[in-house]
Amino acid sequence: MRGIFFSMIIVFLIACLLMFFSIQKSLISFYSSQIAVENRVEAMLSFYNSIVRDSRKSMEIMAGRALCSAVDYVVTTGNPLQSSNDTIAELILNGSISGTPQALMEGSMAKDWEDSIEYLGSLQAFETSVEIKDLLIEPEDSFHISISYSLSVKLYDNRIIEANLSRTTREKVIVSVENLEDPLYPLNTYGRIVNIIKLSPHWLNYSSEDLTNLKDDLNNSYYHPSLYGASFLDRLEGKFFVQGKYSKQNPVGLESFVNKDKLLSAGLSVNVSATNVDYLYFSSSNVPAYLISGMPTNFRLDNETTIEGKTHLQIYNVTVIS
Amino acid sequence: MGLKGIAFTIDMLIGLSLAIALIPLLYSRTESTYPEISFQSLSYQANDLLTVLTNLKARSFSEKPTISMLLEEKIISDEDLEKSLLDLIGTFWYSGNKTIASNITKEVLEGLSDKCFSLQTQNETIYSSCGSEGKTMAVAYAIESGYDVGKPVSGYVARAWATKSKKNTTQIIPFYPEGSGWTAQRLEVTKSFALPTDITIYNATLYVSIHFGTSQSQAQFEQLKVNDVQKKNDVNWLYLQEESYGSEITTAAYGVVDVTNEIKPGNNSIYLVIGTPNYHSHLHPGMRLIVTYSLTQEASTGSQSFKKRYYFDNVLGNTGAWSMVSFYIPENAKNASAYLHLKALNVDDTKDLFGRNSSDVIIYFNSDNIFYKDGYCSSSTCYPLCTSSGYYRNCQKVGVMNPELYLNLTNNLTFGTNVVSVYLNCYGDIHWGNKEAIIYSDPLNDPNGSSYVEVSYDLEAPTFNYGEIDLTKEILFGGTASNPKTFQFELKPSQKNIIEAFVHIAQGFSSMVNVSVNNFWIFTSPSLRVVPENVYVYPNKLLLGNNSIKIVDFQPGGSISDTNYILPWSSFEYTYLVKGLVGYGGVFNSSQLAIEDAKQRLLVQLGEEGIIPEEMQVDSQSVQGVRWLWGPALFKILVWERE
Repeated sequence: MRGIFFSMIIVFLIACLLMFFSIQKSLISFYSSQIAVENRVEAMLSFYNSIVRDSRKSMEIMAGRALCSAVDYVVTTGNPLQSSNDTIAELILNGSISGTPQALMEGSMAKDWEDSIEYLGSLQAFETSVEIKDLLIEPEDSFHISISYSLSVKLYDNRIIEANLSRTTREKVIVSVENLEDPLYPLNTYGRIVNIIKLSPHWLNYSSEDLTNLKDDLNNSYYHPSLYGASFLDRLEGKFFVQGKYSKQNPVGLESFVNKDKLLSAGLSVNVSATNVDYLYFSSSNVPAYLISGMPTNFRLDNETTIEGKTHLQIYNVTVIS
Repeated sequence: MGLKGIAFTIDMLIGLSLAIALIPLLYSRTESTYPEISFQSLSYQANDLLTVLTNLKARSFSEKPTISMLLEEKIISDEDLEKSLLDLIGTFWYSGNKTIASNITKEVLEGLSDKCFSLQTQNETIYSSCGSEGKTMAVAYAIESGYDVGKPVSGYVARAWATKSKKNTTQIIPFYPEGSGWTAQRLEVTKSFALPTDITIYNATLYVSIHFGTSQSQAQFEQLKVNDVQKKNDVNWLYLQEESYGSEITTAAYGVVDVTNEIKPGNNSIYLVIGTPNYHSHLHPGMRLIVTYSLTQEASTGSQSFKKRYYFDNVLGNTGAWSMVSFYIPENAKNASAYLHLKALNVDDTKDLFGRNSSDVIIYFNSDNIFYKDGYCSSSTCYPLCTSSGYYRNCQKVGVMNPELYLNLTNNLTFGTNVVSVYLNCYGDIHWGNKEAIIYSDPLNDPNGSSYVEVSYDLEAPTFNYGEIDLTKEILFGGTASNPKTFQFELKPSQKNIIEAFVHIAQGFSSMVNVSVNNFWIFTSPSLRVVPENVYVYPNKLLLGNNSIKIVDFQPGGSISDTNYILPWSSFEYTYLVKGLVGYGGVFNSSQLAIEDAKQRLLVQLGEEGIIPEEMQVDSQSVQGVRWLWGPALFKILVWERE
C-alpha cells in the first residue's frame, strides 16, 4: 500500500511538473507575443515621433529655400510680391510662384518630403500617409518668421499586427531672415544695391561720446528692429512700412541706414537732406531730418518713434547740430 | 521493516531520479523569458540613447571636448548649438568630417550606457563602442532629412547681373516721303541726325528710294552726300521701274549704298538732290539709313513718361515742298498729346482768279480732311482756282511768307500710327508759286526753331525693368516685288518680350496702303500718298513662332494698284528685351563655384543675343548655407550585451 502511495505521489509530482512546464510555456508564448506587439507599437510610435520631429527640420529647410526663392523672384524681376506670406506658402507646398515652378524648390517642397516619408514607412511595413497643409506664415519678430502648419499622419500596420495611428497636430518652426537679401534695396535702386540682412552687432550700444558703433552701422547698413519700418514680409511686397496684416504686439519691423556714398558710387542720385533710415529714405517721406554731430555730412537722422518708446535720435544716442 | 524502508526509499529515489531526468527534457521543450527580457532591456536602452540624440540640443553638451573645441575654433556658431545632437552629428558626418561626428557621438553616449552600442546611418558606422557585434541587438531608428550619402548638407547660391553691357543693335533713321521739285527743278533734302557718341559702328547702309527723271536714261540724280562725302556714284540700283502715262514717262528707283565709312558716332547729315524734266521729284517710301553698332549700355529702368520729337527733314522744293512725318502712340498710352511746330520759309503767298487768298500752307492729319489751311479752299483737295498749265497753277503771287505754326494735334491722335502731311504751294501732283519753298529743319543746330512733331504720353508701367536690355533688329522681307506682298517670319522664344515693332514699307510707285499683321489690321492710309515710313505694329499682335505681314497698295477707289509694288527691301523692325541678370541657380559647395556658375549662366544668356557683359557685378554673399532636403536619412542606434 505504501508502495502504491509513494508511486502515486511520484506520478502526482510528475504531473505537477508537466503542468508547470506547460503553463510556463503558454505564459512565455503569450508574453513573447505581447512583447512583439509592444515592440511593433513602440516602433509605430517611434516612427510617428520621428516624422513629427523631422517635419519641423524639413520645414526649416523648405522655408529657407522658399525665402531664397521669393527674394530671388523679387530682385530678378523687379516686381514685388502681391502677398508674400501666401507666396511663401505656395513655394513650400507647390514649389512655385503664381504657378511658375522655381528652380530652388525643385525636390525641396512639402510633397517631396511627404513622398519620402511614405516610402520610408513602407520599408518598415507601415502604410503611411503624411500631409502638410494650412500653412500660416507671419513675422515672429524683426529677424524671424514663424511658420505654423498642420501635420496629418496616418500609419497603418496590417501585416504584422492590426494597428493604426492617425493624428493631426499643429507644428511651428521659426526661421531666421538673417543673411538673406533685403528686397527693398534692389527694388529702389534699379537693382544696383544689394544689402544683406544682418543684425547690428552694436544694437542698443550707442554712445553719444563715441560714434564708432553708429558709423559702423552706417558703413555696413546693419539692421535694427523697428516699430514702423517694413518687416521682411512687407519688404518682399515692396512696402516701406509694416502693414496691418503683419503687425504684432512686439515690433516686427526692420530698419537700416542707407549708405548714401554707396548709392552715389552706383550712379544713383542721392537725397542728401533726407534721413538715412531706409524705409523713410526710400519712401520719400518728408520727415524732418537732422545733421548729426560727428557723423558724415551727408548723414541725416529723423526723430520718428522707433522701438522701446524712443525716437531715432534717442535710441541712437546722437546730438543734433542745430 | 528495515528492508521495506530501504526498498521504499530506493523506489522513491528512482522515481525522483526519473522526474529529475525529465526536467531538462521538459525544460528543453519550454521557452525561456530571458531573451525577451534581455531584448526589451536592450531596446529600451537603444531608444533612450536615440532620444538623447534627437531631443537634446547640442548646447547641453557644449562642455564636451569636441564641441567645445569646435566652438573655440569657430567651426560652429552659437546658432549651431540649437541643433539637436543627431543633426549636428549628421551635419559633420555627411559633410565629410567623419572623425568629428564620431568623436561627438562617443563623448556624448559613452557615459550613458554600460552596454555595447553603435550609431549607424545608411549602412555606415558613425561610432561603435565595442569591437564585435553581439548575437542579440536591439535597434532604434530615427529619420533625419537633409542628408544623403555623397551629397553636401548645405551650399551656396549666387546671382549675377551686368551693370554694363555691350550690345550690337540696329538703329533705323527714316527719310519721310517728301518732295516737290517740279519740271527740271531741284529737290533738296537734308537729313540731320545724331547717333550716340559712345558707339562703334559696324555697318551703315543707306537705302535710296526716289521718284526722279523722265526715264531711266534721263534721270537727274545730282547729289548724295553723306557727311559731305559724295556717294551718288556708289549707289547700286536694285530696282528701276519706268511707267508711262500717255506721253509722260517717269521712273521709280530703289538703290543701296554702303556708307559705313562715312557715318560716324554723334552728329551726321545726308544731303540729297534730285530732279525731273517734267514731273515732280520726291522720295518714295522705304528710304532709310540702317546703322548697326555696338553700344555700351548701363543697366537702368525704362521710363514711364515719354516726350519725343520727330523732326522733319529739311525739304527745299522748286516749286512747292511737302513732307509727311509719321509717329506712333502705343496702345496702352495715357495722357497722350502732340503738337506740330512748323517752320516754313520762302512760301509764296498767292491769290486765285477771284482774288481770294489761296491756301499756300495745307496740313492733313490722320485724315483726308484738311486739318489746317491758311486760305480759301474749294474742296478737301484744296487746289487753288488759277489758270492751269499741266501740273502748274498760274496763281497771282502777292508776297513771300515765312509762316511758323504751333498746332495742337491732341484731339485727333489715334493709337498706333499717326501721320502729319505738310504741303507748301502744292498738293498732290499740282503746284503753284514761283520759286523755292522750304520746310525748315536743322535739329542739330536749331532744335527748337526746326519743324517737328512733339509727342508726349505716359505708360502705366515702365517699358522695361532694371536688368533688362533692349535690342533692336531688322529683317528684310526679301522675295520679289509684288502687290500685295506677304512676308512671313519667325520669332524665337528669347524674343518674346517685344516692346516696339514697325513695318518699313519700301515702294516704287505708291498710292495708299493697307497693312495687317497676322490678319489683324494695323494701318490704312487716310489719304492719297500717305504711306508712312514707319508703320507701328502692336506688339501684342505678334506671336512666338510664325508670323505674317501683309501689305496691299490700293487706289483711292479701293482697287488694288497694278503697278505699285511692295519691294523686297521692305523690312520688319522689332525691339525686344533681354534679361541682363540671372537669379539664383544651383546650390554649390562653395561661394566661388556658385559665383562662377552665375557668371557663366549670364554669359550664355546674353551671349545668345550678341551681348557681351563688359562689366559684371556678381552678388557673392547673398545666400549661403542653403540646406538641401535630401533623404530623409535613416539613423540607427544598435545596442547589445558586452561579451
